[in-house]
Amino acid sequence: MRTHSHTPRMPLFWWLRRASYLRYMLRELTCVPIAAWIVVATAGLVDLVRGPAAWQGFLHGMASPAGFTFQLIVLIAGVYHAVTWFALAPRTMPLNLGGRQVPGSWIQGAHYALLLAILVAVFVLVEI
Amino acid sequence: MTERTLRIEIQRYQPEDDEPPYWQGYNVPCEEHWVLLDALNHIKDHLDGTLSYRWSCHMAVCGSCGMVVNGDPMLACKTFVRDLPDTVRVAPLSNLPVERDLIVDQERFMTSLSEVSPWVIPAGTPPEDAEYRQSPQELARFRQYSMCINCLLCYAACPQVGLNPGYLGPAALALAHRYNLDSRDDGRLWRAEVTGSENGVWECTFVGECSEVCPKHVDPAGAIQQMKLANSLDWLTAPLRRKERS
Repeated sequence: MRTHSHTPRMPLFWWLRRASYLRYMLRELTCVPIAAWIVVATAGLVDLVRGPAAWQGFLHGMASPAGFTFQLIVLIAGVYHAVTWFALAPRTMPLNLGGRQVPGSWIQGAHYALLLAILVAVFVLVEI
Repeated sequence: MTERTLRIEIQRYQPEDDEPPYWQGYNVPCEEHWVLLDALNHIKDHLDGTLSYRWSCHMAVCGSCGMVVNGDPMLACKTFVRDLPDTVRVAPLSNLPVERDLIVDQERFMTSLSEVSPWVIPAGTPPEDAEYRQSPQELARFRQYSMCINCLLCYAACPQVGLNPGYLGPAALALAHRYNLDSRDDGRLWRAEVTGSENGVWECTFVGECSEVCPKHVDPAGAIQQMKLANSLDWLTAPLRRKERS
Protein backbone atom coordinates (compact mmCIF):
# COMPACT_ATOMS: atom_id res chain seq x y z
CA MET A 1 0.00 0.00 0.00
CA ARG A 2 1.41 3.36 -0.98
CA THR A 3 1.33 5.91 1.83
CA HIS A 4 2.26 9.55 1.80
CA SER A 5 3.02 12.20 4.35
CA HIS A 6 1.14 15.38 5.09
CA THR A 7 3.28 18.51 4.71
CA PRO A 8 1.85 21.37 6.77
CA ARG A 9 1.92 24.80 5.16
CA MET A 10 3.33 27.74 7.06
CA PRO A 11 0.43 30.12 7.80
CA LEU A 12 0.83 33.72 6.61
CA PHE A 13 0.44 35.02 10.17
CA TRP A 14 2.80 32.48 11.76
CA TRP A 15 4.41 35.35 13.70
CA LEU A 16 1.21 35.81 15.72
CA ARG A 17 1.42 32.26 17.05
CA ARG A 18 3.86 33.04 19.86
CA ALA A 19 4.68 36.23 21.77
CA SER A 20 8.38 35.58 21.11
CA TYR A 21 7.75 35.49 17.33
CA LEU A 22 5.96 38.82 17.57
CA ARG A 23 8.84 40.35 19.57
CA TYR A 24 11.22 39.05 16.91
CA MET A 25 9.16 40.62 14.12
CA LEU A 26 9.10 43.91 16.03
CA ARG A 27 12.90 43.76 16.33
CA GLU A 28 13.20 43.15 12.60
CA LEU A 29 10.70 45.93 11.84
CA THR A 30 12.85 48.47 13.67
CA CYS A 31 15.04 48.53 10.56
CA VAL A 32 12.27 50.36 8.65
CA PRO A 33 12.25 53.61 10.71
CA ILE A 34 16.05 53.43 10.97
CA ALA A 35 16.37 53.10 7.17
CA ALA A 36 13.93 56.01 6.79
CA TRP A 37 16.11 58.04 9.17
CA ILE A 38 19.17 57.37 6.99
CA VAL A 39 17.27 58.71 3.97
CA VAL A 40 16.15 61.82 5.92
CA ALA A 41 19.64 62.39 7.33
CA THR A 42 21.10 62.12 3.80
CA ALA A 43 18.54 64.69 2.63
CA GLY A 44 19.70 66.91 5.49
CA LEU A 45 23.30 66.60 4.33
CA VAL A 46 22.24 67.54 0.81
CA ASP A 47 20.42 70.62 2.22
CA LEU A 48 23.53 71.52 4.21
CA VAL A 49 25.59 71.51 1.01
CA ARG A 50 22.92 73.53 -0.82
CA GLY A 51 23.27 76.47 1.57
CA PRO A 52 21.99 78.16 4.77
CA ALA A 53 18.41 78.63 3.51
CA ALA A 54 18.02 74.97 2.55
CA TRP A 55 19.59 73.89 5.86
CA GLN A 56 17.23 76.11 7.86
CA GLY A 57 14.32 74.60 5.89
CA PHE A 58 15.50 71.10 6.87
CA LEU A 59 15.82 72.10 10.54
CA HIS A 60 12.37 73.66 10.41
CA GLY A 61 10.94 70.44 8.99
CA MET A 62 12.61 68.39 11.72
CA ALA A 63 11.20 70.70 14.42
CA SER A 64 7.64 70.42 13.10
CA PRO A 65 5.18 68.06 14.87
CA ALA A 66 5.53 65.52 12.03
CA GLY A 67 9.33 65.74 12.13
CA PHE A 68 9.34 65.41 15.92
CA THR A 69 7.02 62.38 15.83
CA PHE A 70 9.17 60.77 13.16
CA GLN A 71 12.33 61.25 15.21
CA LEU A 72 10.62 59.92 18.33
CA ILE A 73 9.61 56.74 16.44
CA VAL A 74 13.18 56.37 15.13
CA LEU A 75 14.56 56.82 18.64
CA ILE A 76 12.21 54.21 20.14
CA ALA A 77 13.00 51.78 17.30
CA GLY A 78 16.74 52.36 17.67
CA VAL A 79 16.70 51.89 21.44
CA TYR A 80 14.52 48.75 21.16
CA HIS A 81 16.88 47.29 18.55
CA ALA A 82 20.00 48.17 20.57
CA VAL A 83 18.65 46.77 23.85
CA THR A 84 17.47 43.49 22.28
CA TRP A 85 20.70 43.19 20.26
CA PHE A 86 22.95 43.84 23.26
CA ALA A 87 20.96 41.24 25.23
CA LEU A 88 21.87 38.66 22.57
CA ALA A 89 25.55 39.69 22.34
CA PRO A 90 26.89 37.31 25.03
CA ARG A 91 25.55 34.37 23.01
CA THR A 92 26.89 35.72 19.72
CA MET A 93 30.33 36.60 21.02
CA PRO A 94 31.16 34.45 24.04
CA LEU A 95 34.62 35.33 25.38
CA ASN A 96 37.11 33.03 26.98
CA LEU A 97 39.95 34.80 28.77
CA GLY A 98 42.70 32.80 30.43
CA GLY A 99 40.63 29.62 30.27
CA ARG A 100 37.65 31.24 32.00
CA GLN A 101 34.34 32.19 30.49
CA VAL A 102 33.72 35.94 30.67
CA PRO A 103 30.27 36.54 32.28
CA GLY A 104 27.56 37.58 29.83
CA SER A 105 26.78 40.69 31.88
CA TRP A 106 30.34 41.93 31.27
CA ILE A 107 29.94 41.53 27.50
CA GLN A 108 26.60 43.34 27.60
CA GLY A 109 28.11 46.01 29.84
CA ALA A 110 30.99 46.50 27.40
CA HIS A 111 28.48 47.11 24.61
CA TYR A 112 26.66 49.76 26.65
CA ALA A 113 30.00 51.35 27.63
CA LEU A 114 31.04 51.51 23.96
CA LEU A 115 27.67 53.03 23.02
CA LEU A 116 28.06 55.63 25.77
CA ALA A 117 31.61 56.43 24.60
CA ILE A 118 30.38 56.94 21.02
CA LEU A 119 27.49 59.15 22.23
CA VAL A 120 29.91 61.29 24.29
CA ALA A 121 32.34 61.53 21.34
CA VAL A 122 29.54 62.62 19.00
CA PHE A 123 28.26 65.13 21.58
CA VAL A 124 31.76 66.59 22.01
CA LEU A 125 32.25 66.77 18.23
CA VAL A 126 28.93 68.57 17.73
CA GLU A 127 29.21 70.96 20.67
CA ILE A 128 32.86 71.98 20.31
CA MET B 1 -3.32 8.48 44.64
CA THR B 2 -4.92 11.63 43.20
CA GLU B 3 -6.57 11.24 39.83
CA ARG B 4 -7.46 14.02 37.47
CA THR B 5 -9.27 13.65 34.18
CA LEU B 6 -7.45 15.40 31.40
CA ARG B 7 -9.09 16.15 28.09
CA ILE B 8 -6.44 15.40 25.48
CA GLU B 9 -7.15 16.43 21.91
CA ILE B 10 -4.76 14.87 19.47
CA GLN B 11 -4.12 15.74 15.85
CA ARG B 12 -4.69 12.51 13.95
CA TYR B 13 -3.54 11.70 10.44
CA GLN B 14 -3.76 8.40 8.58
CA PRO B 15 -1.99 8.57 5.24
CA GLU B 16 -3.96 5.64 3.78
CA ASP B 17 -7.25 7.53 4.22
CA ASP B 18 -6.15 10.40 2.00
CA GLU B 19 -7.90 12.83 4.38
CA PRO B 20 -6.35 15.92 5.94
CA PRO B 21 -5.42 15.82 9.65
CA TYR B 22 -8.28 16.09 12.15
CA TRP B 23 -8.63 16.42 15.94
CA GLN B 24 -9.73 13.57 18.15
CA GLY B 25 -10.40 14.00 21.86
CA TYR B 26 -9.90 11.56 24.74
CA ASN B 27 -10.76 11.84 28.44
CA VAL B 28 -7.81 10.39 30.28
CA PRO B 29 -7.77 9.64 34.02
CA CYS B 30 -4.28 10.79 34.97
CA GLU B 31 -2.34 10.18 38.14
CA GLU B 32 -0.55 13.15 39.63
CA HIS B 33 2.97 11.92 38.93
CA TRP B 34 2.26 11.16 35.28
CA VAL B 35 3.96 12.86 32.39
CA LEU B 36 2.12 13.44 29.11
CA LEU B 37 3.74 10.33 27.67
CA ASP B 38 2.04 8.21 30.38
CA ALA B 39 -1.29 9.71 29.33
CA LEU B 40 -0.60 8.89 25.67
CA ASN B 41 0.38 5.35 26.66
CA HIS B 42 -2.92 5.08 28.57
CA ILE B 43 -4.81 6.09 25.43
CA LYS B 44 -2.84 3.60 23.34
CA ASP B 45 -3.29 0.74 25.85
CA HIS B 46 -6.89 1.33 26.99
CA LEU B 47 -8.78 3.76 24.76
CA ASP B 48 -7.51 3.71 21.17
CA GLY B 49 -4.85 1.31 19.97
CA THR B 50 -4.65 3.01 16.59
CA LEU B 51 -2.87 6.11 17.97
CA SER B 52 0.72 6.37 16.70
CA TYR B 53 3.62 8.25 18.29
CA ARG B 54 7.31 7.67 18.94
CA TRP B 55 8.82 7.06 22.33
CA SER B 56 11.52 5.00 23.93
CA CYS B 57 13.47 6.02 27.04
CA HIS B 58 10.84 7.92 29.06
CA MET B 59 13.65 10.04 30.57
CA ALA B 60 14.53 12.86 28.12
CA VAL B 61 17.52 11.04 26.68
CA CYS B 62 16.41 9.41 23.44
CA GLY B 63 14.69 12.48 21.96
CA SER B 64 11.89 10.42 20.41
CA CYS B 65 8.73 11.87 21.96
CA GLY B 66 8.91 15.47 20.73
CA MET B 67 5.48 16.97 19.99
CA VAL B 68 3.66 20.29 20.10
CA VAL B 69 1.67 20.67 23.33
CA ASN B 70 -0.72 23.61 23.40
CA GLY B 71 1.42 25.32 20.78
CA ASP B 72 4.80 24.69 22.44
CA PRO B 73 7.29 22.07 21.22
CA MET B 74 8.00 19.74 24.17
CA LEU B 75 9.14 16.26 25.06
CA ALA B 76 6.08 14.29 26.19
CA CYS B 77 8.23 12.45 28.74
CA LYS B 78 9.38 15.71 30.35
CA THR B 79 5.96 17.37 30.52
CA PHE B 80 4.11 16.66 33.77
CA VAL B 81 0.33 16.52 33.48
CA ARG B 82 0.04 18.45 36.77
CA ASP B 83 1.58 21.43 34.94
CA LEU B 84 -0.97 21.24 32.11
CA PRO B 85 -4.43 22.83 31.92
CA ASP B 86 -7.56 20.64 31.90
CA THR B 87 -7.66 20.56 28.09
CA VAL B 88 -4.52 19.84 26.12
CA ARG B 89 -3.99 19.96 22.38
CA VAL B 90 -1.25 17.69 21.13
CA ALA B 91 0.05 17.97 17.57
CA PRO B 92 3.07 16.57 15.73
CA LEU B 93 6.23 18.68 15.53
CA SER B 94 5.65 21.70 13.28
CA ASN B 95 7.58 22.39 10.07
CA LEU B 96 8.14 18.71 9.28
CA PRO B 97 6.06 16.34 7.12
CA VAL B 98 3.66 14.19 9.15
CA GLU B 99 3.89 10.46 8.50
CA ARG B 100 1.06 9.37 10.80
CA ASP B 101 -0.65 10.96 13.84
CA LEU B 102 2.20 12.38 15.97
CA ILE B 103 5.00 10.86 13.91
CA VAL B 104 7.01 13.20 11.69
CA ASP B 105 9.41 12.42 8.88
CA GLN B 106 12.94 13.09 10.21
CA GLU B 107 14.65 12.74 6.83
CA ARG B 108 15.36 16.45 6.48
CA PHE B 109 17.33 16.51 9.72
CA MET B 110 19.15 13.27 8.94
CA THR B 111 20.25 14.61 5.55
CA SER B 112 21.29 17.97 7.04
CA LEU B 113 23.24 16.24 9.79
CA SER B 114 25.21 14.08 7.39
CA GLU B 115 25.94 17.14 5.22
CA VAL B 116 27.77 18.99 8.03
CA SER B 117 30.25 16.11 8.65
CA PRO B 118 29.46 15.65 12.36
CA TRP B 119 32.65 13.86 13.36
CA VAL B 120 36.19 14.80 14.33
CA ILE B 121 38.26 15.58 11.25
CA PRO B 122 41.81 15.44 12.60
CA ALA B 123 44.71 17.50 11.27
CA GLY B 124 47.25 15.00 9.91
CA THR B 125 47.44 11.52 11.39
CA PRO B 126 46.22 10.75 14.92
CA PRO B 127 48.94 10.35 17.60
CA GLU B 128 50.46 6.86 17.61
CA ASP B 129 50.31 4.80 20.81
CA ALA B 130 48.69 7.71 22.65
CA GLU B 131 45.30 9.18 23.19
CA TYR B 132 44.30 12.68 22.19
CA ARG B 133 44.83 14.93 25.19
CA GLN B 134 42.10 17.43 25.97
CA SER B 135 42.00 19.80 28.93
CA PRO B 136 38.80 20.50 30.91
CA GLN B 137 38.86 24.01 29.42
CA GLU B 138 39.01 22.60 25.88
CA LEU B 139 36.14 20.25 26.70
CA ALA B 140 34.10 23.11 28.17
CA ARG B 141 34.23 24.97 24.84
CA PHE B 142 32.05 22.42 23.04
CA ARG B 143 30.45 20.29 25.78
CA GLN B 144 27.15 22.18 25.78
CA TYR B 145 26.66 21.55 22.05
CA SER B 146 27.32 17.83 22.43
CA MET B 147 24.23 17.50 24.65
CA CYS B 148 21.84 17.53 21.67
CA ILE B 149 19.52 14.50 21.66
CA ASN B 150 18.21 15.12 18.12
CA CYS B 151 14.64 15.56 19.38
CA LEU B 152 13.91 18.21 16.70
CA LEU B 153 11.99 20.52 19.05
CA CYS B 154 14.24 23.26 17.65
CA TYR B 155 13.07 22.48 14.10
CA ALA B 156 9.46 22.81 15.25
CA ALA B 157 10.19 26.15 16.96
CA CYS B 158 12.20 27.71 14.13
CA PRO B 159 10.08 29.65 11.61
CA GLN B 160 12.99 29.66 9.15
CA VAL B 161 12.80 25.85 9.00
CA GLY B 162 9.16 26.22 7.98
CA LEU B 163 9.79 29.04 5.52
CA ASN B 164 12.95 27.70 3.83
CA PRO B 165 12.75 24.03 2.87
CA GLY B 166 16.51 23.86 2.15
CA TYR B 167 17.68 25.31 5.48
CA LEU B 168 19.93 22.88 7.36
CA GLY B 169 18.26 23.79 10.65
CA PRO B 170 19.34 24.52 14.23
CA ALA B 171 20.34 21.07 15.54
CA ALA B 172 22.50 20.14 12.53
CA LEU B 173 24.30 23.50 12.63
CA ALA B 174 24.80 23.34 16.42
CA LEU B 175 26.37 19.92 16.00
CA ALA B 176 28.65 21.26 13.26
CA HIS B 177 29.68 23.98 15.72
CA ARG B 178 30.32 21.34 18.39
CA TYR B 179 32.98 19.74 16.16
CA ASN B 180 34.37 23.10 15.00
CA LEU B 181 35.09 23.96 18.64
CA ASP B 182 36.73 20.61 19.41
CA SER B 183 40.49 20.96 19.96
CA ARG B 184 41.06 17.64 18.15
CA ASP B 185 39.25 18.84 15.04
CA ASP B 186 40.61 20.61 11.98
CA GLY B 187 37.53 20.40 9.76
CA ARG B 188 36.01 23.85 10.26
CA LEU B 189 36.84 25.16 6.80
CA TRP B 190 35.66 21.88 5.27
CA ARG B 191 32.31 22.16 7.08
CA ALA B 192 32.07 25.85 6.17
CA GLU B 193 31.50 24.81 2.54
CA VAL B 194 28.09 23.61 3.75
CA THR B 195 27.43 25.66 6.89
CA GLY B 196 28.35 28.90 5.11
CA SER B 197 26.33 28.03 1.99
CA GLU B 198 22.95 29.48 1.07
CA ASN B 199 21.24 26.79 3.17
CA GLY B 200 23.53 27.27 6.14
CA VAL B 201 23.90 29.74 8.99
CA TRP B 202 22.92 32.78 6.91
CA GLU B 203 19.35 31.50 6.64
CA CYS B 204 19.04 32.00 10.40
CA THR B 205 17.58 35.35 11.44
CA PHE B 206 18.11 34.78 15.18
CA VAL B 207 14.52 34.32 16.22
CA GLY B 208 16.10 32.41 19.10
CA GLU B 209 13.19 30.06 19.83
CA CYS B 210 15.30 26.98 19.03
CA SER B 211 17.31 27.64 22.18
CA GLU B 212 14.24 28.46 24.26
CA VAL B 213 12.57 25.10 23.56
CA CYS B 214 15.70 22.93 23.77
CA PRO B 215 15.18 20.40 26.58
CA LYS B 216 18.94 20.00 27.00
CA HIS B 217 19.82 23.74 27.06
CA VAL B 218 22.04 23.49 23.99
CA ASP B 219 21.58 27.03 22.58
CA PRO B 220 21.69 26.33 18.82
CA ALA B 221 20.89 30.02 18.16
CA GLY B 222 24.08 31.10 19.90
CA ALA B 223 26.07 28.46 18.00
CA ILE B 224 24.74 29.68 14.66
CA GLN B 225 25.59 33.34 15.39
CA GLN B 226 29.12 32.33 16.39
CA MET B 227 29.42 30.43 13.10
CA LYS B 228 28.28 33.53 11.20
CA LEU B 229 31.09 35.50 12.82
CA ALA B 230 33.64 32.77 12.03
CA ASN B 231 32.28 32.50 8.48
CA SER B 232 32.68 36.25 7.95
CA LEU B 233 36.25 36.20 9.28
CA ASP B 234 37.04 33.22 7.03
CA TRP B 235 35.75 35.16 4.05
CA LEU B 236 37.89 38.18 4.98
CA THR B 237 41.03 36.11 5.48
CA ALA B 238 40.51 33.88 2.42
CA PRO B 239 42.99 35.92 0.26
CA LEU B 240 45.68 35.43 2.93
CA ARG B 241 45.13 31.67 2.98
CA ARG B 242 45.33 31.57 -0.82
CA LYS B 243 48.65 33.48 -0.62
CA GLU B 244 49.97 31.00 1.97
CA ARG B 245 49.13 28.05 -0.25
CA SER B 246 50.75 29.50 -3.37
